[in-house]
Amino acid sequence: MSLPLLFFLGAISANLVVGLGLGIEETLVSVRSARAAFAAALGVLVSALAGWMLMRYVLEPLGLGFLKNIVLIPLVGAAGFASFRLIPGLATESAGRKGPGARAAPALMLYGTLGYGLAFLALAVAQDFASAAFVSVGGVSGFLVAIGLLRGIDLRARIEEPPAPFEGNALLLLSAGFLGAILVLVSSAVYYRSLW
Amino acid sequence: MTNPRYLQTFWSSSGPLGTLSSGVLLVVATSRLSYAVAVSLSVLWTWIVSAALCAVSEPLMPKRWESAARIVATVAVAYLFERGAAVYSPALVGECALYLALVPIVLLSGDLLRRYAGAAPGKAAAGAAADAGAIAALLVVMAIVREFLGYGVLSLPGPDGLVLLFDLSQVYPWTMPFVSSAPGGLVMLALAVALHKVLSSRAWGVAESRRST
Repeated sequence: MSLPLLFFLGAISANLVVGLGLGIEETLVSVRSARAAFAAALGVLVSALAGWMLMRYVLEPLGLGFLKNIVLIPLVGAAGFASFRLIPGLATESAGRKGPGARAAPALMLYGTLGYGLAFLALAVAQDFASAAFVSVGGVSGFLVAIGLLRGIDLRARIEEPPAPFEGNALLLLSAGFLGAILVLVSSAVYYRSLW
Repeated sequence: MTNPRYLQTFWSSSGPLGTLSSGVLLVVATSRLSYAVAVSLSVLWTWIVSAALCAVSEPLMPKRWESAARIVATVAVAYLFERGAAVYSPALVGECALYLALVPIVLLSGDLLRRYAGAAPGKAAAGAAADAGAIAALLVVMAIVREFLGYGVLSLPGPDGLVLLFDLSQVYPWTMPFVSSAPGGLVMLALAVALHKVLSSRAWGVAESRRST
């Protein structure tokens, strides 16, 4: 697979947020500014690439690939914790969250599903570091685009409120579902065009 | 998205279904009933054993390493289930690898184990069983609806992957593959949340009117 196609795969075809629903609530509730969104994207990128390198260059050559989950999930969590320590302001921005997860592991909450999902995707399709980098950068680009679009829909919904049953999470899920469907159509169009 | 109304998904604002932290499982693992059954069993096993394990080890654990120990223990418990399930059906575990991996992440990222902190191991396991049971039941119900509407079939886990319980796809021509896709799962979950809001508000209204009369 060519590198631009790998980028397209990560950003559009396999968009983790609106295509699979990974980390929707975590990212939209906890990440409250453009700065925090870019910081989160950086954390996801680092954790996904670190996970890919560990698997490809260490565990698989040693025949320990079956330990993928045991190694990747704590690694993603550790990368998230490190990002929270290294990027000032990110932890305080997510501290206002209420409900389960408010006190502990905000890093895992933010990066857990996204970082792991992206590492999983990169392991499935990328054979070398350049390919893994293109898939991962595409993945975080898709994450940023999805956040931007869903935030736009949220702002619009504050001006023109939807019917009461669809307020809040229901509207968020519905928007993500239809955006995901549009991305599937775009992917199909690109796929068929590449066949002609 | 800072409005508190976003934090309420189904019931119990502090439970696993109160937020969307478990929503990812309800979307990705319910495209087929066989996947949902495998993930439900993993949810039950991982939730209950991890809660009991954390309750037993809590007094011995240094506070500083509590989160790290909780992550390692939960991931190890989920991994044991995955290995055990792979003995029964390696094909199914291969197909569900991502979904099964998301189970400990959801448990940890929702910080659900803290709900049982300070409880005796038995009580922690019982609380975890109730929470996990609710998610498992919702997973199975959503999977039945989505797989039937999407493919016109129902499947269960089998040694070679999945076993079809019945196949109506030839006589039932109105299948909607979109419902079984991931975007369709998001839309179905949105409809389920909206339906729950309507039903709960009606039930609340009935209770209020009874109280006033």
